[in-house]
Amino acid sequence: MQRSEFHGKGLLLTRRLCLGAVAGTAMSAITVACVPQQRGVPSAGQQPAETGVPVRGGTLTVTSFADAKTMQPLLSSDTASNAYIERHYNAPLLRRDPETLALDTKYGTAESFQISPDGLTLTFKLKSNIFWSDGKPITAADYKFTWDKMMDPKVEYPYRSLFSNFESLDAPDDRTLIFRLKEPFCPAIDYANLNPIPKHVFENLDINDNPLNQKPVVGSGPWLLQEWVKDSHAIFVANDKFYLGRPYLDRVVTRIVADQTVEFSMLKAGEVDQAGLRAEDWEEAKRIPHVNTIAYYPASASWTYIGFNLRNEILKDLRVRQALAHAIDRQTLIQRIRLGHARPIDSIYAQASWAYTDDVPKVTYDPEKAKRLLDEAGWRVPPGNPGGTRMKDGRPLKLRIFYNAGNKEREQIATIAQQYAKAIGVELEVIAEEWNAYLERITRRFDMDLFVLGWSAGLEPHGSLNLWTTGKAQNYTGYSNPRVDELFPKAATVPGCRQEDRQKIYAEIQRIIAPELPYIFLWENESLSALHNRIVPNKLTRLGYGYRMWEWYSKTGK
Amino acid sequence: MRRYILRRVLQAIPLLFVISVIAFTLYRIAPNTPFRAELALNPEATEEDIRRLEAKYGLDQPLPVQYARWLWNVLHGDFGRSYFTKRPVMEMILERLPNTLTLTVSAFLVSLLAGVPLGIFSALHRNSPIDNVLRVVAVFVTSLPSWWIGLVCIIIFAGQLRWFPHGGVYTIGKEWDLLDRLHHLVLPALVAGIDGSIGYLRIMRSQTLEVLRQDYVRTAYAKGLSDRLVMWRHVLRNAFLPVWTSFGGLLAGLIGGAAFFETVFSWPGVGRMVLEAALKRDFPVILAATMIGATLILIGYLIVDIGYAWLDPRVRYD
Repeated sequence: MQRSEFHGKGLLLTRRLCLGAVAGTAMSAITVACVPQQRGVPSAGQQPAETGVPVRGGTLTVTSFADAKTMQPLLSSDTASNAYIERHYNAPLLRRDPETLALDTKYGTAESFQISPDGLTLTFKLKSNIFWSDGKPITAADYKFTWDKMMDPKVEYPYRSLFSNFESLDAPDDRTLIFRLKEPFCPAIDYANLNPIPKHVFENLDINDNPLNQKPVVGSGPWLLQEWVKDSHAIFVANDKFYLGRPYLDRVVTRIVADQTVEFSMLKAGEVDQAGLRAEDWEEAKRIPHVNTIAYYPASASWTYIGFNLRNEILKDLRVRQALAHAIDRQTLIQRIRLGHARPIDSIYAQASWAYTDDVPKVTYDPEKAKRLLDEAGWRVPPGNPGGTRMKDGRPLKLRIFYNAGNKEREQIATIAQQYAKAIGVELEVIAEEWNAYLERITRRFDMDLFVLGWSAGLEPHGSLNLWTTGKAQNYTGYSNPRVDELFPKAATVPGCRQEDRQKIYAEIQRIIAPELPYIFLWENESLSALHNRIVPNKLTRLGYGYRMWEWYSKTGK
Repeated sequence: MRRYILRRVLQAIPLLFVISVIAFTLYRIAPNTPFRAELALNPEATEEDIRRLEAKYGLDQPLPVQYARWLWNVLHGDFGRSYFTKRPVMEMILERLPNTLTLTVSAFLVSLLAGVPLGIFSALHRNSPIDNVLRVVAVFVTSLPSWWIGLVCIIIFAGQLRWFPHGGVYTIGKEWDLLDRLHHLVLPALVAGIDGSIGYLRIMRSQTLEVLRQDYVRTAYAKGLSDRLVMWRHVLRNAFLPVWTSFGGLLAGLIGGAAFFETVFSWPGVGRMVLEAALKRDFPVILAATMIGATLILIGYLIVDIGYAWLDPRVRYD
């Protein structure tokens, strides 16, 4: 399920799923609520997967907190639209192996691909038996057409600058695609992993404005949009011509629901088959007889942090940041807020990511050390007032911590952090702001001291460049380290692009950033969800269980 | 009367212009812009991408230029397109309008049919146990957030008791089943209606008590008129005037007044759409809704003013 919820306000902007010709990199911000995610792993004793012959038929009903905006992959920028689109249009050149997380041809439309020795040319050869739902073959011309529209300034494609390293795409024949790069770029294979729209349908239409953007007919995905009642539901039916074979499930239905409270109630009533779970619902969900509960730590985990504004004179001092980090007991926070369904992090990557290293300095809960650090930084406890706010040059150690109003988890983090800070003599003023005001403050005006936010990790670590290199758009803290600025591009241009070679560089980046504490890294969330026990999903991996959903089936055929 | 109506219509034109200027300015000076709200936290979109999209929609132009362009289009019947769905705003509003009207009209009828009689009953049985219970219930319902009441009702009546569905307008596959639609309508209409009935209950109670103290009522009784006649011809007709006044905002309320209920009950209506548009800074949608709402309020109050003449013979229009 997906969501843009407006409750309290928020959106979880998860990584795009290689759709719309886009391969995403990175990470996205978790704003408000979370989209129930279609992935998970059976928890102990509750294995959803069963052996046996898959049964054809049945309907999978899922939920979304927000409806899709468009069915046009080239215009989509929200999670809900992406979820709809990937059912209808789903013919990427490559797919990610759920075990290794590497892109390969096994389930993609490419039969083979090769990277030239100089890393400047990517050549894909398409499989021959791939078709659109109307029976016309999917050819290189469709991919080329999609690429041309992505690059067309008149088309409102939102991610064009991702492709600044690309020179061109040629389709010399029906089965060959040749991407040319301006310079070697390892994530290029991710970006080049196009998912086409049908040329024969769209070539005479305005991509920005045509009826098929709301009611597409021809598709390439496992299910095709049959009915879409805005803000109510969408029905997708099996595509007999899906190039990997007709899906087992006849229909996938998305129902728009208000929030996780309603969603959970519907799960209990058997009105939906899949739901993301809040930590507080986990124990109750385990007792529902008709669902399997699933918990796991995904490679694309969402994680939470308290950011420091490094432009602030007080917070420029590493000792102050260290003091605040040592003052906060993350394990207690995890128990109280996530009810144990999270684990502390000290790195910029999720533990299940191939880029992750554990070899980084860990921040421990040590209020005495925190006090010593503040003493060293010149922030002294006022004489005769041991519980008072520390002072330096007649100025109290007062800071403001912001979060977006309506987000209960962030509210708890900010208020508990306030108590921890007070214990070491730091006065934290907790301020909640409406989502857009908050966003403008931390992303444009930078008028904050500390702020609570989260990211949803992408599978390609290069995306973190925008968070950690000087002057980039998502570098809200103002963090700047010339060595990090140098290493990120280096990791993306390693000769041969071998994962092991790139990982060494990302490990160095993590070792540099962690002790500098631009964030207090709090935790990565355990993904919690529930799935009706008649539905048999794929094996749980670091990608979850939501991959290759056309292989899912219903044991009862209903 | 015709001259009066014509005068009111002519007065509405500058009023709508002023409303449009204020609304446009307020929405545009609010923090954040639409594409920034959507993409600022997405590392796949750069600042350059955001600016490109803003320029495409003229959001980089000075505000007066943007306003003039918007006004020109509106005067030509074009309220613009949503930044995110890329669809004409009026089309989006019109496709949701039947659902919204179904809910709001039903809720309004529940409010009126519950609130007005209960208010009268409460006044006629002042300080009785039932009056006290009604007053406590009124305070209780008023003090709770409407959406919370909706959520609790969903959990109890849909989740636990399974009497009603969790939301939506109809069961998928039963689009033309009237009974199924009514089944989906009952809970949201009752919750929204009861929420709205409290206002009518209070107004009717206080007005009835007020009118009962008037000299003309005492005179009517002194003339030997029956209770029923006094109530119908003197008390209720006069007590109803403030309720009638409140109908001025009803037309606008019918369009957007159920936003929270639409959200909680997954009811695909206009209010829910506008609420989401406001959060996403989808200016064309918000502005169109504002202007339609303002126009309906003006029309509503015109109808109310005309209706006074029927309800209260002392009122005459020249």
